[in-house]
Amino acid sequence: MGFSSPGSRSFADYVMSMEPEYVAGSAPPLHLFITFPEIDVSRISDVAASAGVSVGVKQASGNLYDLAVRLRKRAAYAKLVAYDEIWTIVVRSAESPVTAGEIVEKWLANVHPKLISSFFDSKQLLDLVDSFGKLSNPPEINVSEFVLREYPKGPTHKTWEKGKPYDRSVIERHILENSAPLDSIKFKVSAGRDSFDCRISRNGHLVLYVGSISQFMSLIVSPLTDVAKANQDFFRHRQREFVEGKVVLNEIRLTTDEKEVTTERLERLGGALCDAFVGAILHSGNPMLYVNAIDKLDGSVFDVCAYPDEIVVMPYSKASPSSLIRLYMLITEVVPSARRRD
Amino acid sequence: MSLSGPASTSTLNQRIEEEKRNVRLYADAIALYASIRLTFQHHGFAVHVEPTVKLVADQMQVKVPDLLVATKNGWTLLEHKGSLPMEKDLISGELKELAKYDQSLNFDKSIVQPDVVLLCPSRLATDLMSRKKELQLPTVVSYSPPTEKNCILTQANGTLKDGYLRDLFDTKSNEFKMSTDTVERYKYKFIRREPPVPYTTHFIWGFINLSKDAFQKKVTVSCNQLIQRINDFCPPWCAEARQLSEGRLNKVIRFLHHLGWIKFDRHTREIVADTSRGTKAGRMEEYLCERFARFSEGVPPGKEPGEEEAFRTPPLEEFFS
Repeated sequence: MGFSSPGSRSFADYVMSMEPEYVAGSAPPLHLFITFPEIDVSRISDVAASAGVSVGVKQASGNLYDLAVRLRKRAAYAKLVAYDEIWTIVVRSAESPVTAGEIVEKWLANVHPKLISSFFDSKQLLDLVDSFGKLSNPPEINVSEFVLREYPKGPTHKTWEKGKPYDRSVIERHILENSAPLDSIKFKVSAGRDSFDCRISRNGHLVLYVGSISQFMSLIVSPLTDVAKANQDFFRHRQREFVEGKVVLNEIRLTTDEKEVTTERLERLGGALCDAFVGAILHSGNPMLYVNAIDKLDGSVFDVCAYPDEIVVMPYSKASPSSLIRLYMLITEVVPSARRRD
Repeated sequence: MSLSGPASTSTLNQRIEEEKRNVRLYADAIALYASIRLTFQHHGFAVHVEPTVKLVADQMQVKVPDLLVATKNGWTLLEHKGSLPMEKDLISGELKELAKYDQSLNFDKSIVQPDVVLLCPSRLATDLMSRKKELQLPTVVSYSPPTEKNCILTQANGTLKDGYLRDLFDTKSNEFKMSTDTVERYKYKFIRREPPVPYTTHFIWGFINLSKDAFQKKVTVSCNQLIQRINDFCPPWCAEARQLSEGRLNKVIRFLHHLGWIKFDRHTREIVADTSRGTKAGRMEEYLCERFARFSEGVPPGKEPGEEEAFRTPPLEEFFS
């Protein structure tokens, strides 16, 4: 992540200038999105227009830009720090800050797949929280709530008992019992006099409510940027190709819990794929599912075969990472036990 | 295609169900044939899918069995039946047809005398075995659902004559678990003749979409490009049998044109597709089956949910004239 990378001084200066306000608790929540561009900054307005939304872009200094994101009649103002591979968008709005974060989140969904949001699965989110325990001076973690996302029901909020220490197994048990992935977790990190309150989410929407912005950047944003980058890389170059005259499939295999993959759940997965993509269910039952899906956004195509112990995604000659990520997110929403075989 | 006017609702519904069933059976058969082909090939046997043969004793009558397997020992002909009628006369008739293969066949300029085997789903094999006394059954090999990771073949009645094939089966259970590469299997989409038009349409629509960029609605692609692209990435079983032929594509073009999803220039053979079509159709195979049934029965296509008609649907006589 570029918070402390060379050439990022303007962004670092911008972030550090907010430190006193956030430590004092007098600033509105700060929303941060780690994104992966498939375009140059100069094309962002054109892309937004093609997607039916709009954005005003003005270079502030170096790789730091001011953004005015518009979604119909609503607007949010943000800063964009643009590196070649990663763009970080920071929203800090004095007026209705929650809405401003939502506007950018929805705007990003519209300009997808030209600007791809990061994503984190349940394990990655919990691994991050666990990682604090491995620091030389482990900070205290106080969870206030976590949210599960069940398909097709949507989010379910779970309040954490006040004063009860963080315990990963409690959240994992809820994931298993509800058969729903972790959507977000809100917690406070306290280390001596330094502390911050934040939320990290499956869809890459990170929020700092109050506290040390520099701690938030180094303990949350920086490691999650590395995870997000690794996730993106995993889904790159998955298209079918010719190697020495033979067709080679770069399939993605997801292992699953056989107990979870029932015929009913596979039917639900088939329905979800047909809603989100242009999908044809060519076999369903016993339990096995075979769907051919076309991404209506960018024309990527893939076969999805789900067996009790495994889901296999077989991309065609075009399979963009953004498309595969959307597919992966959807699969893990319906079948939360699905895990990438790295 | 019916030219005698729109069909009644019951006829149309029957036709829709028939189209859906055909798509399902075709996809299952592809999975079965691909599994058999890949597994047997791994053991060094050649498998010909739907080869053309001539019955030597029946005035060289041309027939197309489902699978013809060659090992060093000889030939085995597998005729696939997904279902059979219940009445004894009808079922006997079907078995009699199968018995016609039990003679010298002219195949690929050679004369072969195959072992004739009925290949059917396990539940059908169980039904047949329960009626063994009243029916003259040939050798029967049954299969578990072919879409499973490891489809199991069972010698349900009699045994295969070819020792190489017979040795694949466990001597106690009579079963052979085919360990198919599940990924390799899905390279094959059209290895049988006469794929149902809705089935082919969905795949071709996908290949048309591959040319699309994000937020782009209209895509132009030539028929030659399309055939080339599909055959490149869905490789043929053998050099002379490509998975997508011009004939198959023409049927799809005609149907997509009828739906108003494409404009087709028959002189340049270029397709201009509106890729926003079909995006709200839900289960695409069901949608296409319903529309194709309407098309075949002469019922107007109507509009899609939430969408306007993109291209004018021309009178059929304008098409391919």
